[in-house]
Parts: sequence; C-alpha cells; structure tokens
Amino acid sequence: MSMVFHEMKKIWNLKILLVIALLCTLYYSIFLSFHIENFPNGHPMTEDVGYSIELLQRYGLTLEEDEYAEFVQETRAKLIAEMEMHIQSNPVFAAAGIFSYEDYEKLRGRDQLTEAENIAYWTLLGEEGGFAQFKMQALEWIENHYRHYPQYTWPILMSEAANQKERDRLAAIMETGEYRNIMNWHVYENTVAYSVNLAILSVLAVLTLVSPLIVTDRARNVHLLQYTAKQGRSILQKQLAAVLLSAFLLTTLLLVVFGAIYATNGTWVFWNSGLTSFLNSYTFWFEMTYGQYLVIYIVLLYVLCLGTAALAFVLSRLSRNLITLILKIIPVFGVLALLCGFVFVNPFSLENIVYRTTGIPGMEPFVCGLVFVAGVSASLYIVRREKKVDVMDAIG
Amino acid sequence: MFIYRLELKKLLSSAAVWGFLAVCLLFNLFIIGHSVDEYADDVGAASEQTGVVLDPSFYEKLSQMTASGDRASQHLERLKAETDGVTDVFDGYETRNIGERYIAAAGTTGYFAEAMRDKYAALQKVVDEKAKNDESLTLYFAGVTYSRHQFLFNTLLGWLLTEGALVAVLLALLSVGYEHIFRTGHIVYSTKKGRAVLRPKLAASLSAGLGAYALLALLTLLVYFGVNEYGDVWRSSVSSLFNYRVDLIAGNRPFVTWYSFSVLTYLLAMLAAGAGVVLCFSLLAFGMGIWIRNSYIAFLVFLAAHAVCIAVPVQMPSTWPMGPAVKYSAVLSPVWLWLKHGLWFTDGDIDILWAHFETIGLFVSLVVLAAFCLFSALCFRKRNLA
Amino acid sequence: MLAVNHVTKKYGTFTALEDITIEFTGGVYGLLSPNGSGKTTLIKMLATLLFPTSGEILWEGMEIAKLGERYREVIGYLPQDFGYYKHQSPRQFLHYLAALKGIDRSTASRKVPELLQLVSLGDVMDTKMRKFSGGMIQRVGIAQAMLNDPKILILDEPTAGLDPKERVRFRNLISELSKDRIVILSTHIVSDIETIANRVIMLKDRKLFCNDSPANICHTLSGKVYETWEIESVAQPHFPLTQRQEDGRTLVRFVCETGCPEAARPVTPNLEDVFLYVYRDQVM
Repeated sequence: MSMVFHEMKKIWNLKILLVIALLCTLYYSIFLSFHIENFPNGHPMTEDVGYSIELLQRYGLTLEEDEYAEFVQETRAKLIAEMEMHIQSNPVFAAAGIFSYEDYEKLRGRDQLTEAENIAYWTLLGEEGGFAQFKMQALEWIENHYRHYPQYTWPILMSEAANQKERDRLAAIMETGEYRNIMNWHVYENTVAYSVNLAILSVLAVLTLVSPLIVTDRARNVHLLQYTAKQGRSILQKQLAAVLLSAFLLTTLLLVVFGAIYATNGTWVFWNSGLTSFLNSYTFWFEMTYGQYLVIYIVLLYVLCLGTAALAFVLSRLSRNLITLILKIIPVFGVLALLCGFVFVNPFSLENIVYRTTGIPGMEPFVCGLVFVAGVSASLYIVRREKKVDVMDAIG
Repeated sequence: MFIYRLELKKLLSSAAVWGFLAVCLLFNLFIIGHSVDEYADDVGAASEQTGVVLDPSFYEKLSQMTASGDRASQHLERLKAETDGVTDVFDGYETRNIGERYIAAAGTTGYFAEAMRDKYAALQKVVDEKAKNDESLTLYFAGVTYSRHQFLFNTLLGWLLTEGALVAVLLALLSVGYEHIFRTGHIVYSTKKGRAVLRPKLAASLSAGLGAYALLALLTLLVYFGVNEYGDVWRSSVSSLFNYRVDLIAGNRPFVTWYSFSVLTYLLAMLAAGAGVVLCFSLLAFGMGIWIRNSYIAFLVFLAAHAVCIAVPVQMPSTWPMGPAVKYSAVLSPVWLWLKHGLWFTDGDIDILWAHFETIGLFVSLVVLAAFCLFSALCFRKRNLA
Repeated sequence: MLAVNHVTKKYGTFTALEDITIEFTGGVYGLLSPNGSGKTTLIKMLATLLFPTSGEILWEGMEIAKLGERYREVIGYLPQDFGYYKHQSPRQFLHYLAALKGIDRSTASRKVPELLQLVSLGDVMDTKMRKFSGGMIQRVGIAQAMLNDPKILILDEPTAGLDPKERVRFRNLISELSKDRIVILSTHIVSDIETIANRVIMLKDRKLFCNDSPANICHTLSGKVYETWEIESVAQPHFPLTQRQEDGRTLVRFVCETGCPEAARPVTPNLEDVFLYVYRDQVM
C-alpha cells in the first residue's frame, strides 16, 4: 500500500497541480461562471424561477388543480393591485392615458405605441415598476404550461412519439399525473449546462494529472530499477492503482469545490422535485427527482473519470515521450468531451442524444461504463503483459 | 543547412505526429460529410451557365435554364425566386450606426470611442465604393450563402487553424525539447555548433509546423471542393447581398470586407493569415520550450497562458482604467485572432477597434514573438546546463 | 594549453568548487575523486555547459566563453550520463553529431565507419541503438568524442558499463590518443588511470587536493602502507584499506602513520591506497 502512496506522490507533482489549479480557474471563468453569475438569466426567468420556488414552498412537490387555481387567483390579484398602485402613483401612466390595469393590458396587443405609451409600458417592466409586468408574464407562462400540458403539449408529444415505448411512458405520465411535478426548466437547464462543462473539466483535469507518470518513469529508466526491485514488475500494478486512486481524489475535489460554488445558486430547494413537470421542457424515462439526477450524475462522473484515468495509463505506457503522449491525449480528450455532451445533456430524457441514437432508454450509464471497462481492461492487459515482456531500454 | 535537414527529419520521423494528422483529417472529413447541401451544389452548377454577377444577362440565362428531375426543378425554381428583385444592399447603407451601437453597448469613451467611430467612418467609404461597383449583386450561393460561407470560412477553416496550431506547437516543443527528452543535451550543446543549434531547430519547427498546416489544409480542401460543387461561385464576391453577419448588438448586417474579395481570393487570404497565426503559435511554443525543459509542463503552461489571455479581457470590468486598453489590445494576440477568425478582413465586432485588425495583429504578434524567441535563445547561451 | 585559473562554482549558497587552478598541457590527466566531489562540475565547465561563478578558463590564453565555437571545435566530450537517439543507428547518430561538430559530409562518411571500427562496432554500424548493450552504447560515446579529432578529449566516467577486456582496450586506446592531445579522464575507478595517467588531479572538500604524477602521489604514503594476515595483532592506530580472503584467512592492507608494526609487512603504496586513505573521512 505504501508503494501506491509513493506513486501517488509522484503523480501529485506540485508544478502540475499548480497548472491544473490555474487551468481550472480559467476554465471556470470562461465556461462555468456564466451559469453562476447569470442565474436566473434576466427577466422574466428571475420571476418564473421565483414563482416555481414559491409554488414548491406553498404546495409541496406537486401542483393539484385546486392549488393551481388558488395560486393563480391570489397571485394575479396581488399583481394587479401592485400594478394599479404604480399606475396611480407614477405620473408616466397618466401622461400616456393609462389609469387602470385594463388600460395597461390593452397596450400589449398593439403594434405601434406612442412614445409616452412606450415609456409607461417599459416602466412596469423595469425596476421602477417592481418588474411587475415580468411577474405577470411569468404567471401567465405558468398558467399556460399548466393548462396546455394536458390539452396541447401532451397530445403533440404523443403524436410525435417515435415508438411504443415512448407512447407508453407518456401515457403513464398522464395517468399518474406526474406532469404536475413542480420543477423549473431554467433551473434544470442551468444545472445541465453547468454539469456538462464540469464533466469536461473533470476529464481534462484527470488526463492532465495522471498521464505523465509512466512516461516520466520510463524516460528516467526508473522502470529498470523498479523491475529488479522486490516489487518487481508488479510496480505497474501499483502505478495503475495510484492512477485510479488519484483520479478518484481529484474528481472528489472538483465536485466539492465546483459543487459548493453551484450550491450558491440555491437550486437544491428542488431536490425532491420530480423532473417530469409541466414547467420543464423535457420528458424523462423514469420518475426521477432532481436530487436523484444529481446523485446519478455524480456516480457517472466518477465512473467516467476513472475510465479516463485508466485510458491515460494505457496511453502513457504506449508513448515514448511526453510529446507523443500529448499527441495521443488530444484526440482522446476530444472524444471524451463529446461523450460528456452526449451523456450529460438531458440524461434519461426522450431528448437525450444517446437514446436518440440507440433507441434504448437509460443507455447513458452504459456509455460511461464502456469507457470505464475499456480503460480498465486495457490497463489490466498492459499490467499482465508487462510481467512477461523483455525489458529493453526503450519501450518494448 | 544539413543540420536543418537533420532537425527536420527528427520531427518528420515521429509516427505520433503523422497519426495525429491522420486523426485530424478524418475528423475534417467527418464534418465535411455532414455539411453537404444539394441545393448549394445545384446553385454552383448553375453558376457555370449563368455567371455570378446578377446582371440582365444572368437573369436571361437563368430564365432559359431547364432542369430534369423533381429535385433539380425545385432547386431551379427556388434559385429564380431567391434572385428575383434583389437590390444592392450597399446602396444608401450607413455604417455609422454600427459604431454607435457598439460604443453604447460597451460603454466606451474617449480615445476608444473615437477610434471606433473612425473605423466605421472609414468603412463607410468602403461601402460607398462597393455600392458604386454593385459588388453585392453577386450570386454566391443565393439563399444558402450564409450557411455555406460560415461552414467553409468559420467552421472548417477554424478547425484547420486549430489543428494546424496544435501540431505546430507540439512540433516546436518536440524540436526544442528533443535533447532533453533523449538526454543528449550535454553532447549536443558542447559541440562546435553548440547552443546555436537552436537556430536550425527553430527553422525546422516553423517549416514542419507550416508544412503540417499546409498539408492538412490541402487534403481537407481537396475533399471539400471535391464533394461540394462550387462552379463559377469562386468568382462571386464574399460581400454578396446573400451573405450577412449575425450581430446581436448591431443587428444582422452585410458582410463587408475592407478589400474586395472573391470567394477564391478570400479563401487564399484566410489560408495565408491562418499560416501566419500558426507561425505565431509555433514561435511562442518554441520560446517557451527554451525556458521550460519539461515539454509536458511547457504545453500546459502554453494552454494556461492562452486561457489567461482569453479570460482576462472577458472578465475585466470596463470600469478599470486599463480595462479598455487591455481588452482592445488583446484582440491583436494570436489566441484572439484565432477566436475571431470568422471576422478576418472585415470590420470586426464590438471587441475590435481597428481596421485590418488581423494584419496588424499578425504583424505585432510576429514581431513580439520573434523577439521573444531571440531573447530566449540569447539567455539560453548564458544558461548553466546542469 | 588549457588553463583553469582560480575557478569557483557556486549554486546559490552551495559551493561546488572553490578556487581551482590547474594547467593542462598534454598527456592524460586523471581526475580522481569520489562521486559528488565536484569532478563533473569541473568537467562540465571545461565542456562549456556550466559557467564559473568566478575565475576563468583559458585555451591558449583566451577565455573559452569568448572563443565560443573556436574552442568547442577542439574539444571532444563524453558525458557521464550519455544520452543517445534510441531509434537511430550509431552511423546515423554519429553523422548528426559530425554535422554539429562542423565536419563536412564527405569527411564524416569516411570518419564515422573508421571510428566505429576502432571501437569494435563495425559490425553493428547500422543496427538501431535500442538493441545495444550498455557497453556498446558507451563505445558509441567514445567514438563520437573523437569525431573531430579533438585537441582536448574530456571523458567523464568513460569505463562505466565496459567489461574488463573492454576496459583494457579502452586504456590502450587512450594511451595511444594522448600522444598529441590533452586527455582529461574523470573517474572514481583507480585502475582506469593508474597505468596511463601522466598526472593525477584529486579534489577534496571542493578544493584542489593534489595535482602530481602518480609516482609522486604514491610516494606520499611511502613507508606507511603494510599488509598482514593478523590484523588483530596490530596494536598501533591504523586505517584499513583493502582486504582479501584466502584459505579462510584474511589479508589486510592498511596504513599506519606511526612506525612499523612487527606483525605486518611493508608494501609499496599504490594509487588506490592513496585514494582510500585521502578520502577515508568521506562517505563514499
């Protein structure tokens, strides 16, 4: 075991760690920070996420008909009262000939507004007007989606269903009323976008950290010493263990750091919310909650990163020097990044690419598992082969 | 000269490099395969009969054309419909508003705002000239011009540039780090040529890098133009009325280049500028390789340096006093030239302050990076090689 | 003449060599010290890989740093950790190095096979070096050092990896070559130089300890080196040098500074005796 830790010390080389830390920071800045700094992204998304959270807090995980009616009525009344208050107190409205909410409503349907009317209209869309009009739009969006799901959305989904499996799933959703789950699609999409980019970063970080080990040892002919030591050729086994353990640790570190940053978005309030919802754009194969989706994501990420590390181990063993190693890693990274996109964009939904390509639901873990199995089997083969191979000074 | 050839041979004999080039080529072929547009092919074929200038003779020849088969007929009708009643987009086109929108959106002030205004004032002259010559009245690919243009010049050339740059960088690192990798430094640097061997190494790196880029470009474009029918579209202006730029701030607008380019000359200019960018990356990597002996770390630092170059101007608050200066000068760096390759030879976008930014950027970058290489080599002369 | 004048080499606060002054005029100079004593530092400075912190190294009166390639073209250097291109044959590798040494191609085409024959690698000139044994690689290294017929041949631990027969052959070769050039042979193996060195240079505690003929150096221990089968009966303070087992008995060779112990037989000191005695307090 101490040999494994010794090998890990070689992997966790300060210079490389510093560079990885820098790369992570820069990657965060370019690809991840947007999803933190711009969540919710402007209006009316801010309002409709706000309302979704309110619905969750007031009515629990699902929104029944009576609860829906109550919410809409109450909220609309409150909003109209708020807008009326602004209309009465702010002179821009009188200047545009608006004296009540009904007058304001009439502006919405019109193509051409006078300048005064324009100013009045935009006041309720702005901070001055408490974003009231955006709130109204958000409320209407909720109304539309709740009403439309059984009336329009579901029938369209049914008619566009590609096969019987999809139809059966959609039928089940309608039967059990699963669509009444409260799950906001801005929240879901924000999580998906962040998770995909984090997965790509994790793969990149793992590849960067563990790849050089074997090449560096062989370059220094350390392998000759190692092979003649008591440990003998099983050193490669220990190195594989060190590589996998390092990948595990690094993935954990990244999940903790970037997960903590993501938690500041406050989306964990939806932890128990079912993903299939009238408020979400996607249909999921399973009755999965947001929290379950996150847990599965984490598990799959570990599987993928461990597979990645194993592949890096193989590439490292097959490379004469660090440059040829990099030349091999780049296309492998390209493929893995693509796989991250396939697996982690709307996983377990009817819209996921892996399902669309294979026609089999729930194949996403299989893809990650495939990377893991391929990497680990190739690594184990290399380790076994090493026991017999002639050790020349060069790569055999 | 002989040493140069031997250094070059070291690079060319790396199987991994050829393997990587093969993978890049396969990838390029894959994306080309997914970009086939039958309508565009038919337009290309038609252009051979009609010519590409949208003058009375074009319309006459178009009206006389016949097509056999459903698809061909549909395409012919579509072409007729799309080219019917078109007008010169540059007639009365004002560029001033673009500059003003950019200034407003970025909150630019002072020198930078003026420079932006000057750029669009200069562009107005170019636009007026194009209007006089009816330059936009060319066919290009009619209704699918935007997607065709974007695919070739933005997507495909973008990938070529990325691949060429990566190979060039790794070849440079391989060349300069070769003696460290094989532990032959002590012997090599104590010979008569000694540390001056960096000169032929640099020459070999640059030639190999450019050669790889050229080879990849040649093979990729051979396939692309083999698969896609360009006919007489080569002679069409890239500022055709059918071509445009998607601009979220200033609104969609015509594709205006400072010079008049046909599709062919634009392609050649883009490839040449691409070679310049590849050269820049190669010089930078070589210089870095002199300082950082471990080529793996050198490559990571190379990537990190460029990521910093991207992140800093993007994240920098515009209220910082140096903010605008940093943001606008960053565009002249190789990595930003790479990012903005879709806008080369045009007026650019909100981040670009000067006309011919790609030419200025290449010139500045090449000078700075050549100086960096020279400085690094001079320092290497005096370095203790333990 | 190659002159090292008051050369000091420091790395930060660590002094690798202090105030070394040596003149090399011709013949074989054995640089004999334990590992870590600064031999390789001195060698690398002579090979222009390192620069002195203070002092100067002159070749025919001119600083070697200023001479640049004019100095480097008269040296041949075999480093301690000799690296090579594994995927090349010795012929290819030597051609590359010949080019770096400024030898034109036609001359190189003649010289390379000659040299490879000389070091008994004539049969494997075109075999990839990844298949070579350590000794063969070392011989390639010796061959490349001689490519430009150097006036100064600098060899750092050149016999590492050579078998006894090869060692003897190597010694004879060096002896031949030293007739009209300076050969600086750095080693910690006494037998490498004791028969061929004209002068032996020893470094101790980062400074020059001695620079003299082997005979004079051995003479410093004259009358002080003994051998005995009964080391237990030697009462005087002594320092054991080497020992040999024979028929269950141990023959011990030792140095005794004070007087002649009766139980021991005085012997003529050799270079190894001096080496072991001089460096007795250093961990080797």
